[in-house]
Amino acid sequence: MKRKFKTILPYLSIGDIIKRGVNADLDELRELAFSGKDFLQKIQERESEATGIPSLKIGFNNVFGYYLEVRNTYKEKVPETWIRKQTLVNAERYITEELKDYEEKILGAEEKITDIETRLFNELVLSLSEYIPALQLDSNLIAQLDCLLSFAKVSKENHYVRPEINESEILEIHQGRHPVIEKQLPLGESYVANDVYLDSSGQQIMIITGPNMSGKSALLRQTALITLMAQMGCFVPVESAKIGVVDKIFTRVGASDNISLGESTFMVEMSEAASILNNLSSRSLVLFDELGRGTSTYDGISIAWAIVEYIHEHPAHKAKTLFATHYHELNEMEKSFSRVRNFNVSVKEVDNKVIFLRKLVRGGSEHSFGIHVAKMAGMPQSIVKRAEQILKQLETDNRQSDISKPVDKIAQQREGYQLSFFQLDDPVLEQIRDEIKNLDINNLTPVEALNKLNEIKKIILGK
Amino acid sequence: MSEPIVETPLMKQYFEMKSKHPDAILLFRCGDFYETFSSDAIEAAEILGITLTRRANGSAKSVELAGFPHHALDTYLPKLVRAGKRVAICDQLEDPKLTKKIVKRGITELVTPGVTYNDTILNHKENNFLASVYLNKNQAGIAFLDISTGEFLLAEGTNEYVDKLLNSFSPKEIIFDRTKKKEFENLFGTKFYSYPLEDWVFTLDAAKDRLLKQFETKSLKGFGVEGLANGVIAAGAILYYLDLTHHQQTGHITQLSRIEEDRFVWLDRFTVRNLELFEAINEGGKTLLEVLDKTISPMGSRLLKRWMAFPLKNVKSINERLDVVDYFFKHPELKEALEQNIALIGDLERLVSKIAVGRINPREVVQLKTALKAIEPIKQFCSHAENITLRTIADQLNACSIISEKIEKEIQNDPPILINRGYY
Repeated sequence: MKRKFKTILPYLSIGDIIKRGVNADLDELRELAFSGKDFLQKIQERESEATGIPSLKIGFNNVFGYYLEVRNTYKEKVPETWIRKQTLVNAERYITEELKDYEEKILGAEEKITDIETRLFNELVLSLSEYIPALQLDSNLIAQLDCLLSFAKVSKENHYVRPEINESEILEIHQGRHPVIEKQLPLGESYVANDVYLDSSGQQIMIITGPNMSGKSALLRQTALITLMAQMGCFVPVESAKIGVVDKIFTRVGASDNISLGESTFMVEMSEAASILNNLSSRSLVLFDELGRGTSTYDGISIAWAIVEYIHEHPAHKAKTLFATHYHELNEMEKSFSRVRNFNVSVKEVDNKVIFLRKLVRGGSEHSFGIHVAKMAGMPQSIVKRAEQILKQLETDNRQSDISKPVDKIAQQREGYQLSFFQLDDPVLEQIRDEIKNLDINNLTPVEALNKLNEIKKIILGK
Repeated sequence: MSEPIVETPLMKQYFEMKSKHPDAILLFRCGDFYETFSSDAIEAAEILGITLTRRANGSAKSVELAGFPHHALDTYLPKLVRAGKRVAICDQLEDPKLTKKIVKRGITELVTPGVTYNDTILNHKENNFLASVYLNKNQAGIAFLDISTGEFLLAEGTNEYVDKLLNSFSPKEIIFDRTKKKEFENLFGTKFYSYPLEDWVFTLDAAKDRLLKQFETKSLKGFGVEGLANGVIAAGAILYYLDLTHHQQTGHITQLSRIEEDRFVWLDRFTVRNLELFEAINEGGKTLLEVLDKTISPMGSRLLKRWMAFPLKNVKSINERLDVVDYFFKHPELKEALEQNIALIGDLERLVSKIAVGRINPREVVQLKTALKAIEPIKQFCSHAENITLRTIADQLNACSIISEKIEKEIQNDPPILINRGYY
């Protein structure tokens, strides 16, 4: 250990840890070591004069301790009593009896200094260790203060407001903003704030439709983030907010990520959704963003519908839910489910172009505006034109062959809504009808329901 | 090692050490160098970019060798650990000058991603948790330890809950029962660095014994974890692992607390990911943490992360925090004064742990003094605030003036970092 010390520290800085006046022995040894330094200086001066070597130097290294260094120019002047130890390119190093004697003294002193300092330092550390619990408490309290100061700081900088927290089951956000996105907007642009109101008796489920890029996802996330920030004890980016404490926050986004892992996106979506439905509580805040995107339109609509219905009809827990979707067919649900409300993120269509207003307004929406987004993304003009034609075609066709109409019916006759989706002249569809008819909905867990749905899907795919 | 290596006394000693931790890279202290041999050397040379040479061991036999000067340990050790290696450090235990025979050596530490004090490996803005998971049919026990701060937590519940906790705490390493490897990987995937231990480590009696010994208590009742057998087993396994990795000085692990799930908002891992709380989904995206974290001290930064992963459910506790924020809002001069003083404190939490394990250096002792002196005015300011939470904090803060005076009296203000400290 001592050896290590010496190789790490230059010899003169030894003795710089413990203050003077703490230990008498230590001070005495230091005196010795330091006067040694003066003494070396004197040896150098004296020898320089005696031998007539003006550039004589005294140095130290780990291998042979103190030495006298002579430039080659003056090599001849070196007295015979000196012992040559090392030859460099343009200098030689020597030791003398006197130097060795002194070295022993100094190093002996230094070694003792190290010993004493080490001992004193270790004693000090040992005495500190008695205070560990107190110091741990201190650092925890400082951490708390630091966090709260941080909250105050960001709240001031970003114009957050204190939320009102209560025991109710009402979530009321007035002019809420997305804390992260609002920080990233280009200069001069301001975030379009929105109101969100959810409770367990009147407006439990908000179905939000709107074109892609209109800000549905941001609205969903900001609602969760504001709630979360409030319950962390931070102010929130709103004009005002009343938050009945939430005990669980669930967010599900229609699959798009996990593709790289080779899992079926639909399967992933469904298993993630299932874990929500198994864990609902009255104080839950549930956000679904484009659920059912991972499958065909009909599958997507029916699953989305079934899930909203499940949450709405749950006997014990009226979980507050935001459901963003581009299936405007889901707007039909408002008619027959009393606590479902339709909203849409408004867009204006001017001269066949879309302007995103990003404002949440009451009511459903008609189109998805996907084609406009494609246009904005720089899709070739010819493709955009053709897509517009096809859309028009499909929309008129669908009206005739009753794609939107069955949805109306579904809303009216809830028990058997799945049936109306199909023209019942197909044996596969009949098989599905029977499957569904034989289901005992009341004794079905959500997971079973989803599994059943998966089975039904398999039937359709003919597997 | 297809061809036998000639057993010089040194190599004999080396293999004896190596056999204790065959899965770790062994850094073998030889004089002023840490050397690696054989397959370790090949690996270390590649990871560290150091030269791979051969040492002749008797006639016509040689062994691969790669090494670096001992004082460069702080540079090279983190690289090995970050590359996912376990590193055993073997030091010389006696002064070579005092012995005629081969110098006595012993393993002084086994550094793994989850168990380290090394400042250069630790990220000061986050905790470095080691987790231990015990699977018991549909229930599971879990424990977390950050040895750099002394924080020790446990919980038990469904596998889903354990999965959620793993995602909230993002441990750097997980230990589990070797016999349940398949089950473990099915449940939690393979994205965490994990290390299997023998099944006998995960037994209730052994676990209890270890915990009681650690805390020097007669029962675990005081910690409120008595009934949580699965969690206790997981926690016990952590202590076993510390022993295995030669981390015997654990005086700073003074408490074991239960993670009270019913106090916090449930956020599962999909939600944490979707909301981009800690990590952005898209490259270059910003997270909520980045927006909210304006903390000054490393322990504040670590706590803020925890607060975000565990929002409160209790109206009163939430309002207590909001009241304080409100108070700071209305008293900017207090806020500024506190901020200035907290800036002086540094990473007090990890300094404290270094005291416990005897690895604090003189400069850090002086930093401790500075921290304690900054706590005095903080305590003062808070005690005058018209806010009950701040006043309670003031009451609990302890500037430990005895210590700071003692340090002031005995230690130079600008001491060298090193006393006789090599690595150990």
